[in-house]
Amino acid sequence: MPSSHLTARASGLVRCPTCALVSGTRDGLLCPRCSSSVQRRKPDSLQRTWALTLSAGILYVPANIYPIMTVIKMGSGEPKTIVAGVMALIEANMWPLALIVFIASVIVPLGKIIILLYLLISVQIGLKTHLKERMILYRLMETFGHWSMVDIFLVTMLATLVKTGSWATIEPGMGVTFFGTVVILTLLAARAFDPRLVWDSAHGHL
Amino acid sequence: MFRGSSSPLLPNPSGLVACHECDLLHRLPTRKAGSVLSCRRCGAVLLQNRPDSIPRTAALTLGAFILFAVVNGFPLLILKIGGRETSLTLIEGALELGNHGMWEVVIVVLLTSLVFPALHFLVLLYVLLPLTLGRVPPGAITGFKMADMVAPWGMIGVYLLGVLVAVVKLADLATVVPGVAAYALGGVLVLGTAAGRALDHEMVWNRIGKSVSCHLLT
Repeated sequence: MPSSHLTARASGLVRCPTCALVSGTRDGLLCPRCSSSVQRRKPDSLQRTWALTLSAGILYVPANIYPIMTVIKMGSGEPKTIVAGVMALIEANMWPLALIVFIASVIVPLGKIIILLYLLISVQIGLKTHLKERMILYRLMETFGHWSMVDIFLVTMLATLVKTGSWATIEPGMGVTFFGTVVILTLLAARAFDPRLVWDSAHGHL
Repeated sequence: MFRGSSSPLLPNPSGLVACHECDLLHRLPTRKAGSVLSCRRCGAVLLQNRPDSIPRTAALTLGAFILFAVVNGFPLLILKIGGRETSLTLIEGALELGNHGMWEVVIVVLLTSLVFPALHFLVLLYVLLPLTLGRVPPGAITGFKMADMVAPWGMIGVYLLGVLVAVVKLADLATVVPGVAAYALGGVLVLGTAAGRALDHEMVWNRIGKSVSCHLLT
């Protein structure tokens, strides 16, 4: 029986990232069951997660400054940023929808960047507390991370539907590209982060 | 010490499972249908043993794939204004931003709403349908790896939320009705999620993977 805190790495074993087979294969060699390359930990996890998270944080600024769409009514245009889109829903008294869009397009991307920074820093300083709580944050980020894409899908639909009408036109703006890039970078950052490092660092094995 | 890989109840030939979130080793209990094994240190779900996993996942995936074909053949949204009707299909919606020179967005939208979900369903069917008949199709390992790789990038549920928001946003400007494809997309989401929950990865890997002898561990 494995002792209560024995990890695969401490036992000289490795879990295949693809098929989950636990074997004694050495790092960089192939899993005996599915032939994927196995690694005890995701390679360069911290460096890659830092790079992707910081890039996402920087691009978050233009993503919110540039309009994601311009609604042109009777010849006059109204550029709208992501936050303005949420405000418009609140003004129209569509509270439940405003809340969903606010969560998906503001809370989720910002929350992801903050959670990633917290996880990275806590691992690097070897924080020994809140291990389970940090895993919950990690899982939240994994589960809800892709919901911010809703803005990108929304703009493509609105621009297609309202394009030739004499009453209004909706033009997509630069913000779409920036925001889409932020969402993809945060998704890649979450995947680059190896949650096992949280436990390694708390036990002084980093 | 370790039991052989021939026992269908033993999902991992090593008899051990390592937590994917904290690396803690667990000895596998004898698996009962419907049992869930969680990591005793961090609480992550390690294994979900679903009854009749392979035929059930294959059936649900087949349903999702057929409905997804319907999604692509019918309008998602219909906009009515002054006696004129404009409609939009999934592909038209994705391609429109190309007219504004935003091809990078077109590619992302096409991949996440169309290519990856379709590829996921197709590859899963390619692997699972023969398995229900007891046959392992050629390239099953590569196929199943690919299905796992594209799964997190398919965003049908998010797209559906976008459809809902679009309907509400345009409600004060024009009459917008969700088309056949919007309802079908809802069906794809339900069946696809159920298929994901029914899938027992360990069981599939045991059937399609190379046979592993236990001496590797000792």
